[in-house]
Amino acid sequence: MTLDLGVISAAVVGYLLLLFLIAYVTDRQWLPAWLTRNPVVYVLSLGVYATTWSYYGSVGFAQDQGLNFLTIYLGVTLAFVLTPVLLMPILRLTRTYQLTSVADLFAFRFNSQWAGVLVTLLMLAGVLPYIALQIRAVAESTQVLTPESSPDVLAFWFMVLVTVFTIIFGARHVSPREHHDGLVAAIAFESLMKLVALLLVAGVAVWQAFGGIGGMQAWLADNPEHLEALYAPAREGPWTSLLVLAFAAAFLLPRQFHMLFAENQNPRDLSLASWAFPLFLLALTLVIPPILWAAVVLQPGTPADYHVLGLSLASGSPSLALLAYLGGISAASAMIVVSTLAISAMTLNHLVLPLAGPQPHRDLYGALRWARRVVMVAVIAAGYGFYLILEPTTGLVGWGLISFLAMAQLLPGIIGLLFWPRATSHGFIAGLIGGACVWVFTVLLPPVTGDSTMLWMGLPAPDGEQPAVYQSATFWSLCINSVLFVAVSLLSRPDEREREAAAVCRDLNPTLPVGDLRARSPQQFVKRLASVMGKTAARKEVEKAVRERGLHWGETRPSHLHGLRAQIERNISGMMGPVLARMIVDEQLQMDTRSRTALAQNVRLIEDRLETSRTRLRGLAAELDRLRRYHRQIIEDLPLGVCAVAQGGRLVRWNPAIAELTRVPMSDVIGRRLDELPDPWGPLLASFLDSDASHWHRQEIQTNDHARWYSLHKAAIDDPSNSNRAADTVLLVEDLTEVSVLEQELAHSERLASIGRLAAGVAHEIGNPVTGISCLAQELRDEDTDEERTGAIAEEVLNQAQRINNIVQSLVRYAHGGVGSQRPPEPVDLRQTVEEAMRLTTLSRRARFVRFDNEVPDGVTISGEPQQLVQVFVNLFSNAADACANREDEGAIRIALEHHGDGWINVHVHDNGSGIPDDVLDHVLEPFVTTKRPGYGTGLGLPLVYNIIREHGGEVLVDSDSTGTCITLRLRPDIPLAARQTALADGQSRS
Amino acid sequence: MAQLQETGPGGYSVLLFLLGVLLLASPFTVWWMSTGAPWYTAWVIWALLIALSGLIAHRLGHHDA
Repeated sequence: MTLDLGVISAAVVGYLLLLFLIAYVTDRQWLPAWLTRNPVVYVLSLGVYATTWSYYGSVGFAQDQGLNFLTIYLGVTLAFVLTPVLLMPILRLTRTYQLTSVADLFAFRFNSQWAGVLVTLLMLAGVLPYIALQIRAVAESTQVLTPESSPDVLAFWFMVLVTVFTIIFGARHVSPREHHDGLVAAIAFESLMKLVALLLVAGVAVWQAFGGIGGMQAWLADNPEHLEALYAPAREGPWTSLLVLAFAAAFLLPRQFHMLFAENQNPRDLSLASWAFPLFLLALTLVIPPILWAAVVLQPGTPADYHVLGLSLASGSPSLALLAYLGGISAASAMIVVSTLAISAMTLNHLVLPLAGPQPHRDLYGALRWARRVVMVAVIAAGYGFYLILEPTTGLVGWGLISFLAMAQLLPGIIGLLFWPRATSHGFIAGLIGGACVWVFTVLLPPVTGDSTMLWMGLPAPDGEQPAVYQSATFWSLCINSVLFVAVSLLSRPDEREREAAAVCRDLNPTLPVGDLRARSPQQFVKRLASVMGKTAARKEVEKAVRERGLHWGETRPSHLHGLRAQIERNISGMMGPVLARMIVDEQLQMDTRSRTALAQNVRLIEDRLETSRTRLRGLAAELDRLRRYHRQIIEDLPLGVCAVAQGGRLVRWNPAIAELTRVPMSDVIGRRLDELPDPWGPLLASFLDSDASHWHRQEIQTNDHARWYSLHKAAIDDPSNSNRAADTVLLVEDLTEVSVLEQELAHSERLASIGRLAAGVAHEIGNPVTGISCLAQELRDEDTDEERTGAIAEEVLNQAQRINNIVQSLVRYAHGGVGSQRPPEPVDLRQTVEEAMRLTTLSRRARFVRFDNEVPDGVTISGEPQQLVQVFVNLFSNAADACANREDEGAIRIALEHHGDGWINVHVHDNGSGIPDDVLDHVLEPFVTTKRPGYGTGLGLPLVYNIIREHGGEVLVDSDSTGTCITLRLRPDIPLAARQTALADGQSRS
Repeated sequence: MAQLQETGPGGYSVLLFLLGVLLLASPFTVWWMSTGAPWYTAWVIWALLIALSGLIAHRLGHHDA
């Protein structure tokens, strides 16, 4: 049975149009995301590994080499078994640093454009014959179905359609790093097509040949030579070498690398693929021996490489034949499309762009798109050229193995990349050249030139039909490659960039950035990058990176700008390759090496990195990390606001307590200067940092119309590793609002208690004038007074009423001087204040018999709150009067004032009372310490005096002996608040 | 293989790889091929490796979480 060429052509075109449709609707997001982004789609897309070599050639391979054909898939399984230590680290690198191809990966690790160039050339040399193989398989399979067809013409049009598909769906984005959802969906569909077609052909063939699986088993029992033919070549042949080649091909073939890493949406998908993809391959290969044995029975009359088609034709079903043929088309087109996409990215990044150089005046994105399209066309055209010139007698398997051996030359490099930081670019390049030379002369050139003279190396004569040649070629090429790689690496030294990249590949912490960037804002990034990328592209790249980092255009924090720079480098790497990206960023976004990064800034970066690699720390490092976390947690949980300021005044630590009390989150402040903080904190903390004082007490801050009180403290942080380095500073912010409110309430209570104690005296003082007024009123009523006398009486009544009024007003002022009376300070005359306090105190019965000598001169003023100062003297006078109460002679209180030489004024309150016992004297300013009997004193009087005088920037000194007590108030005459704080801090420093 | 952890998926995957090498690329391989084993023996061994690999992947998923 044969098929009509027109039908076949229509089926091919229709099938490719179906692929276009699948890719299109996926890209347009017309299909639900759960379907298009399903991990199963990712797993199926990896089926691009199974090309026409697998689809058609496996049967031929199994016939010639028995079970050896299975090594091509078992090697893949062994590579996927190592997913956690092999594939996952590569995925992490490619995702983090936007590496799009295996050439990018090596160029990144070895910081070498030459490494990228050589890998690209090797890939090109290895893949172009492989593309030719696919074209040949399509042509030959068509001839199997319609012997009269012209294979070259059909191959040409197939190639044209595939090229159009590749350009439309593979070059849509500027960066190949962007996911091609439509392409992936189409490739996944093609994998499904291959699997279904092969299973159907196998099922029908086994049923036709044996009547079922049981029949096949019986046939094998009757013909044991076929089972022996399966096992014998594997026992004696290149089993292990082929396993090694397939192991390398599993992730190093350009199409595999692209689908595995560049198109990966989620690392969990790779985790699924680690077992699901081998399962797919198992299902695909399980039917190969049955197909082979069915062909033995049915004799389809086709070469073994095309038994799949021959058996489908032998079934007599054109539909099955067409389905089997389209399965082959799927295998060929998927391989060509993805390989071309991957190879074009490599070629562009490592061959074309380095030669073209920067062209800032052109549309970079447009130029890249067109360049990628041109390279794609060139790659497929070159594959077609290979197809025309290659030796047609070489089997499908032969060309596949040529490609596999090329990829295997990267194995030593990939092991060094992941596990050997000492590997150098020179070693890698030397090993690659050595291995590639063996590959070229032993397996690549002979099928092209027909020359089979490689006996000078002691190798068997290469023959594409004999996989045995791959045993020795694999051994020798990898041996020479590895020896050169190790030896030259040990003889050469990696530069700093190489060491840094090696640390990144080993997931170790790379060198920390030193210094600030010269570009101080994203806007300046654009300006600098525009000189090589053009203004439009530079702006778009910076915009993209700003968006990805969650920053804004006003960002100036050095650490965030470092992150932005790294992000831009990664994005450009995804577009133009890591070497060019690094060169552009290094040249345009230089570091200012004169500036030095604060130690604390580095600590924060290290902490960030440790957070992401926590699980990899072991032993002492893990213990140290736990200790670090514990120490950090101490600061985090401290109920005091803590912030650390590094050199340059930038904040490097901002604990939750200070974030809560300032209502400024940590993410908004880290890396900023103090003066960039919002009011009132920025000015307050900045001025405190600039001041010489170590402490500022009770700073009143107005927040949301509420007054709050804070004490500030600071200390220098010495760098233990560098004694000459200027110290960073830690600031502590202590919220005293609750304490202050409590103190005010206590003061108010004390004041009310004082009023209570004064009540009897008040009654007495008011009683006298009231009696006088009463007498005068009686005189007016009962006696006939003349007009002059009446006026005199009225005058006297007014005087007495005024006297009552003065007493009442004093009490009212005194009582209202407490909570909520935070009035701005005003000049207070000290003599008048003392007089007022005397008047109030003498209302008390105990003070009534004490003599007051006010020796404070007129005109001495201080800045403060009058009523609070009155309370100071009332408390002092009350205590003095109590101390004098037991004296037999008259008690005396003398108030004197002296000007001190340093600008302070001292107000002395002397009494001749019983004095304060020595054991109480040191604690007398503490709350609730009293020498009075229970019920006669609260112990809050002197602490209140102390607090009020401290708030006024003064000091309280107490001196006492058996002859009396002298309380000295040290005050500054009428000076501004800030000066008072400084003076107070100086005083504390001295103490 | 310094990145391996004693009980992490990396360690198990290396152990499974070594088991795979023992079964598929050692004199043991030649032995089971010589015993007249059924034709599908290789696929059974392969399926065993896949199943164990699935278990490791499950564990890796937990580690990622």
